[in-house]
Amino acid sequence: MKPTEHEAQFQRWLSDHIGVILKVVRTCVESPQDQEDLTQEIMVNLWASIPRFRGESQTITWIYRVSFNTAMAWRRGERRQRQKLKGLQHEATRVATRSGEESHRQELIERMYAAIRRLPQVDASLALMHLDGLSYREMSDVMGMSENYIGVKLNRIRNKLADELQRESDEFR
Amino acid sequence: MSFDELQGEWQSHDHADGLQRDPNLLLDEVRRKYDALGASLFRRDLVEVIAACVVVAFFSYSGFVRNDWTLFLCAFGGAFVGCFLIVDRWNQRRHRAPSESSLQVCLQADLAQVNHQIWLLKNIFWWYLLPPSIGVIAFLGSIAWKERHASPLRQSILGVFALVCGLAFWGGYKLNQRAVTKTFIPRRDELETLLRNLERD
Repeated sequence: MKPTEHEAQFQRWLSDHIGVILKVVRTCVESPQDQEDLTQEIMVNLWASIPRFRGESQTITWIYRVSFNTAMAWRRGERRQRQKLKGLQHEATRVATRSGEESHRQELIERMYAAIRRLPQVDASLALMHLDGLSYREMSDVMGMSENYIGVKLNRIRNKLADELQRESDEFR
Repeated sequence: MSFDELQGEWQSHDHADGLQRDPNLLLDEVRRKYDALGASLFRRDLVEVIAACVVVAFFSYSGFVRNDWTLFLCAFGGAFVGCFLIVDRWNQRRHRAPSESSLQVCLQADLAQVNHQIWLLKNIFWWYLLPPSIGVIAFLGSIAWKERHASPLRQSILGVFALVCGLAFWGGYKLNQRAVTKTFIPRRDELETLLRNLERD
């Protein structure tokens, strides 16, 4: 692959799927610094994976696989053995002006992220893909699990997440 | 709120909301970091090769100058350990699963790597400690033989030196066994738990 094609592919992936990477990161780690570090690590691995992408699998499942594998390895502490990547603060700025309703919805999303983070790692990955609307087949492609077992697990995860968020809402009131 | 309603909220939310990145700056940064990572891996391999060469050259030269065959044994021990480490590192890197493999494949590859690390450390005596020890023992033995009629003070110094060498080898062995129980076995257990989680119970 020529360097310009490589760059164009990477930019296309980022513009189309940056949300996937950010969601994986936010369901995996909580602190902004860790989120920034992990985002960069996923991007570096995505960049490295481009020459191996032959279009045989869907882009979305490819990006999920790279993101989950990087995130899980990162959580297991490989990060500590490698040169720590410095922040990209100069490139990222957050805009934080929101109306009341937006703020309420944002709060719900934050609680969903927190609830997913409390799940075991495999369940958290399934929950995220399910919320994003991936099919069982796509999830099976990402995880290497049977579709039947994904169905069984998702049934438990759906109930657990809904119950937990309901309980939190009740406590909040 | 039902799960379907939560899913609706989730999908209508912009998760990259407010996060603005300059694509060109980001691309430069990612490319730079990728190159830096490759360069750091290359540097680490180079340092190991150079260190092994320096050890071999030092003992070979000393053996040649002093006409002492035991120093050639030390050089051979150093060369064996250096080559073993380098070949093992390259071999392990070849078996690493690409990051775009399925989670199960990646976890299996990681588990194999951790099991290999445990095997390496449990058997550290045979491939890391024994080869240089043979040279060191032969070297100390030959000096002790030459100094057998020397003063008790010189013999005591030699004895202390031998003791320090023995303690250093024993300490190295114990430290590595500790790393197995404190670091690698918990990591293996965690990977096995994750893999079990991917399989139907």
